[in-house]
Amino acid sequence: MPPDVPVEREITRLLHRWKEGDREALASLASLAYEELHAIAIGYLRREVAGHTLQATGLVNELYLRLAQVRGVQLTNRRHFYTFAAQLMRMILIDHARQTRALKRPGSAARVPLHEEMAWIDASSDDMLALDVALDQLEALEERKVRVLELRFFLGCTNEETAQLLDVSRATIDRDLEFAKTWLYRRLSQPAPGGG
Amino acid sequence: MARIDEVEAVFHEARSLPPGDDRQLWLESRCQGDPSLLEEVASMLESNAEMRNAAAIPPIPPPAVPAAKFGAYRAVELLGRGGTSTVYRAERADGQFEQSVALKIMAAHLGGPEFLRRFEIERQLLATLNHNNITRLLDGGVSSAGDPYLITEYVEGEPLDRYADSRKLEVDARIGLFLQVLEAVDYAHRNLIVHRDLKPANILVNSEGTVKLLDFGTASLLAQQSDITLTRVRMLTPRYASPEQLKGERLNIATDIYSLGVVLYELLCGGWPFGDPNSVLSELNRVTGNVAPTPPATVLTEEAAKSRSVAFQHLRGLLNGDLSTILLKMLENEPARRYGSVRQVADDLERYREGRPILARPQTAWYAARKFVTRNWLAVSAASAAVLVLAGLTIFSLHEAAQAREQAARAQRVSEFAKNTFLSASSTWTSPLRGQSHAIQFNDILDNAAERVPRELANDPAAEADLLGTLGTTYAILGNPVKGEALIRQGLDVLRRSGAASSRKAGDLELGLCNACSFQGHYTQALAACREAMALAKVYGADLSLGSVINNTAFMAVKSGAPLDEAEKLFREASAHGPTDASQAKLFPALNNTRIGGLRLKQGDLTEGERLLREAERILRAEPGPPIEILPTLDSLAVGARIRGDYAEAMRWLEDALDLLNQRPTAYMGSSGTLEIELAANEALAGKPQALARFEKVSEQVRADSTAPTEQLRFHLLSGIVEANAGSQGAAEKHFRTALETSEKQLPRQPAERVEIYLRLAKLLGVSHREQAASDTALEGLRCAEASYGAFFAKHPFVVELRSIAHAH
Repeated sequence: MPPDVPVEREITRLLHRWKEGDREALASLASLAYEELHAIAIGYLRREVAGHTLQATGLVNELYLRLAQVRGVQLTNRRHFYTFAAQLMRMILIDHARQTRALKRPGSAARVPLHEEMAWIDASSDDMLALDVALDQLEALEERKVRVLELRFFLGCTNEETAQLLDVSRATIDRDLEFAKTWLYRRLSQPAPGGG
Repeated sequence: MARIDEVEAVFHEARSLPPGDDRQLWLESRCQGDPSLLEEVASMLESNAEMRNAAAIPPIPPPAVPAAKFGAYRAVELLGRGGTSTVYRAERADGQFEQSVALKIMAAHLGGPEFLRRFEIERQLLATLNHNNITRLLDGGVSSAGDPYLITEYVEGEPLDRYADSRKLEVDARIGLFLQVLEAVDYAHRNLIVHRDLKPANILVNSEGTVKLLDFGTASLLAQQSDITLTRVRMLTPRYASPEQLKGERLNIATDIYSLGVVLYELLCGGWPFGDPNSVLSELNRVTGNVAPTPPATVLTEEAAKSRSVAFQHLRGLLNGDLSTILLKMLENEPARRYGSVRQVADDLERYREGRPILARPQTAWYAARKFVTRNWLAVSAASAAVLVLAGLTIFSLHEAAQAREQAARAQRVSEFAKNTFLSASSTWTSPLRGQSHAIQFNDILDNAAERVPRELANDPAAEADLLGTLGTTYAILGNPVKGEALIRQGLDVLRRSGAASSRKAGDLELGLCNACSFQGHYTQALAACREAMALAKVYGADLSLGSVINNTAFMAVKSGAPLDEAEKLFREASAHGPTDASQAKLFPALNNTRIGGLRLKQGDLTEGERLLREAERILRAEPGPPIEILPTLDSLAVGARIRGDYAEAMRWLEDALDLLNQRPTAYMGSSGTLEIELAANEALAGKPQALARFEKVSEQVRADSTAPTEQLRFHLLSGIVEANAGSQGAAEKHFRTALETSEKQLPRQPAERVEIYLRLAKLLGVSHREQAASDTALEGLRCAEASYGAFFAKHPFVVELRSIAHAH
């Protein structure tokens, strides 16, 4: 499948703007690159119908390569790059959950924990859709926590790496995570309160 | 509603206290007057406790041993389970034999017609593998339940890494085991099967110390499917996967070489070459490319040394030099820069074990050399190594390649000597071999040596001259021919002062001088040095064979603009002497015929020229490969066809040559630019529309690479042909006139080169209705042809054309 040239050009343009500090470019970039990745993701997902495996490798590799191959752009801002990747990973995994939910055979009890530290979330079920909503709610309250969660649980960084990327102390990340996980747990184990 | 940051602050404070009534009291007093804050924090603390107690998702229970029969076999016990397959120990269902086999059942969901079709093909392919180090495929098929399965030999053994560590094997023994692995993979490659998932877990060693490779071919059956059940969502970059695998590109044997590189690296060093294997960042960095592996000697630990039964310092020493070079070559990001075959890896490891020089060159020198090469049409390679550069391809370039190869081999030998005798104390010497240094450091070492040689070897003029010569040659090859020339001249001075101006050594130095001069484009000086070397070699012998020395002289004669028949005479003389090196003896006549044939063509003798070239082609084609040395032969055959006006034939030769070049990126770095331009010119002459695009793709590079007048001339002639046929008459005329000027000023004694330029220019002028100028130009061309073609003048195609243009007006 040949890459869509205009889209690539647009991505290049956005990457340049993003590099120059344009925050909005990141959002546009995510939606643009997502279009591309979605097609790739569907391809991967088709190949593993109802399997327990999640081929995150392929997806994230594609993402990085797509971005890294955009010529003339030096991805110098690691932090932006990785937080962006983590966000895309989240979108892809949520979609994956949506897909596998539709394809799951009745009676199949196999559960895939999102992460050993968030083992109460089944990455192949509706839990993920609820998690997505909860993350959006948390983002409205405190954006940074969501970035931390994404880096940690969607991209798979360690606490140490997350701290490095966000340029804060390891202790801060530990605390952020404890609070954010609790917040999510509470939100997901209770019916959503009317307020916000 | 309480603000979230307030809630969080109190939440953390409260969590630092043990849960219980005291904490509740503390909390109430902390939130006094703010009931919503109290409620929020209390609820969060409660959730936190619940979350910590929340049962993790239960692991997937092990599957029951299936009762069904798989062919003649029945599963007995579970051995292992992956995301895409489950492996059991199995036995004959009829109880006829007790022997155990391994039964691998593919996950049911993989089924489907496409998978089954590939499964069948691969199964047949795998059944052809019959090697002592590869687990044999015994049977396979689809069970009654619809699950595809394979039955293989059952191996009781330990994974390679565990086997080596548990026995505290030394480095040499580890290499020995690894050579068995290489033998098996090489065998599979020769049977066109790529493993694609080489890792220690797939390499078992049995109690007799015999290596058995598992899962051959199943990796390709499973395509991109990772063999790991994902228990948590995270990026799983396979630890042994190559960059191209990570990119999802087409895989080939280079992929296996890379994975083997990672396996060997870990086997020898005990660490992963890319930092912490559990860090997603180091993995991602690797995916994005540009990440060089950590030099082996720097990842070693005391523990690694202990499990290799050596002292830490000793292990570091072992992994500093050649082993580091071998590992890093296997782990090159670009497949083309890795070893060309598993056999080559094994050869180098064997050379290392026997203490012979390895063929891979240290990267530092390579990088330094490459820079120079892109400027200078020089082939650089270590002792008869594979890295050969054809930046611009003419019949001359291969000579330079061979020359450089011989020089480099020699340079390596003597610098080895230098290192051992007086550089070993220098700490700077070791750094480049650790792989972390760059060309600069290599040059530092040379500088250091260049200063020390005269000082420390003042009372041994022979050794001093030898080392000065070697250093000079090394400088010249590594991109500083000016300094190289100065050092070699210094060496010659030393010989002169010690009364050895006329000696074998002096001849060798003259030859080095010849190269240093030609690298600078000083062909006249180069020729003078070469003639000197030739004269001395005839009396005293030389490091190179006399044939090679005469060959060298012949090339310099052509390049410096000597009459072509003089050069041809030298080539014929070289032919008569032949090489002393037996390995070259086989190809030597073919290569010489190529050179002589090329010169015959230029001098108008199409019949003899093409006969010699076809003869050379026949010999070279009969060799396995065929050897890449065939490229100049094909190039010259194309020129012959072009002179005859058979552009379609010329295009076939060139396309063939380009194909060969593309298949062998490992052997030939550098551009195929000149071939492309020759092809574009023929396409233009044949009226093919793609000519201009092809030309434009490479012309800048070729222009930049064309340093010698002979090459500049060819570039402008061919450029002019393409431009003329694309309708850019102005540009075409400019190219032709530049070509003429280059030829007249720099190669006045080679009028043969001008015949075609005049012809093409005359045709162009005719098309632009400048009849008189066309006619005059054609007459000039005829004059050059008359001076060059001798007996072949009358019937030469160019002459026929020139005449018709001259007479038309």
